[in-house]
Amino acid sequence: MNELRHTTPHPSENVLSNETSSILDADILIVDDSALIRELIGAFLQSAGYTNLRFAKDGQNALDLIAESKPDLVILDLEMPIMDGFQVCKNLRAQPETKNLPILIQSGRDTATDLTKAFNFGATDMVLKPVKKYEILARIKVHLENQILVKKLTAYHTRVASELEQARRLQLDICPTKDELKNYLANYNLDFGWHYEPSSEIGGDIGGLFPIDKNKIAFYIADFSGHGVAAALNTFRLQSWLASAKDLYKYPDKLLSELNNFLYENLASGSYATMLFFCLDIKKGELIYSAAGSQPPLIHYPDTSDEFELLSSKGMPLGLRCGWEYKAAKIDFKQNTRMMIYSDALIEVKNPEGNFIGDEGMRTEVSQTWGKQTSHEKTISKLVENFRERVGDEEPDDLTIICLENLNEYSN
Amino acid sequence: MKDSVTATDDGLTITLADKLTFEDHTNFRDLLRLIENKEHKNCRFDLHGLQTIDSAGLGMLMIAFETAEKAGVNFQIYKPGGQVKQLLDISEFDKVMTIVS
Repeated sequence: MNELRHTTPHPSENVLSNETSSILDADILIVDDSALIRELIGAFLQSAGYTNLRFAKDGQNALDLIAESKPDLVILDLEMPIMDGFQVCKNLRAQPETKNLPILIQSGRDTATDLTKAFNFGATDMVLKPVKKYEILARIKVHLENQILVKKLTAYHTRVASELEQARRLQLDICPTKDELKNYLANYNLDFGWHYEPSSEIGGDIGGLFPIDKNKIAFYIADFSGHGVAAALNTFRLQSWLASAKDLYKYPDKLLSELNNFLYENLASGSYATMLFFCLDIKKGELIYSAAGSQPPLIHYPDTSDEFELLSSKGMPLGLRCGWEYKAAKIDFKQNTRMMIYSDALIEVKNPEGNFIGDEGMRTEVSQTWGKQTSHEKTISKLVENFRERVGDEEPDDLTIICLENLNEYSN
Repeated sequence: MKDSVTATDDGLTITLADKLTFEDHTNFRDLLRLIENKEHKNCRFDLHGLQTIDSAGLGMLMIAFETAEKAGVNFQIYKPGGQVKQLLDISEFDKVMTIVS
């Protein structure tokens, strides 16, 4: 079996790389009403190699220049005409685009009250006049490096979030759309309800539908061990494999046996998928399925009590044992037979008494929720609502719920 | 995961308590080395104190079994309970390895 491979990030992805050289291009705004001080600080910075300096003679002039183009750092005097440094700090912190802009105060005011006021108004750091060259250069370097690091981290985060969102959309594309489900209702007289929400951005749950011919349709639910990107990539791997295994859709046991060997060869050691694969023959009103350790399906036969029953879903999870032979089961699935399949997230939450819902708890809940007159939309909404209440503020696992009712009529 | 190891003439007993999850995979690897070194012919995983197991934990138990299988060591899972028993049961691990109730 393949072991997990660890790779080193590309140099451009290394957000912690040394950025000292690039800070010399930083846009620095020096604000002081004294031309002499402005020139002095400017000379200090130029002697250290900084090339991109701008100057402002009071607070209002500084805000105007910042509005034109946001600098990377502001060196700010406190006492100035027209608008003082405290007000500049306050204004900058009130604007979303400048609320994190580093502001280095340089001032002769050194009382505890002044220092407290400056920091309360949003100053990042402070140096006292007379400004000492190596002190101000050292402070500037620290704040610019921090600023560059934060910018790169933010850009990295934004890019990863955007890519995860694209991956999420790809996963959602695998699930049937509402229109597709309507087509299954029109063409097969099968009423499907489908709910899928991945944990955080993407997850290891997957499900799908495959029409075989005018009388047969296959569908499945699967859940890869683990969470996040690795589990999600495995869902695409599964989907690709299934797309190339059309001949096996009518034989769920054979399909799982072959898929198991494929996953055993390709997944990291100890990784696996649980799965239920179904083939429904609407002409005969028969459902053949094979299981690999998934959650037990809930089924309700017409003309019986309101109680749903648990079907067996025992089976070796896929990818753990090479050469495993899976078994198929055949059940009646005639008019108004209803079934629900779901991922383990739904039952691995606790009720208000602190007990896990479990298979039996879910059987009771579905029996009470999905009555004969209740649509599967309402049923799914209620189950999801209950789930969210139970999860509370915790990050939920991937959640899939699939409901199916056979609306075809059969003669005796 | 809380673990303890005892070795007697009968073999190695690895007792796991609390929970077995993805976070335990590094520590679990150390336990596998004890099986790999073939000093014992029998290895028992005592799970009577294990409260919960996640998907990664289940995978680790299968890796432990395969490690024992390759090393020619007899492998046994001893007294799993609650959610752990339920997950082993639904996954049909009893068809592959000895599970003592």
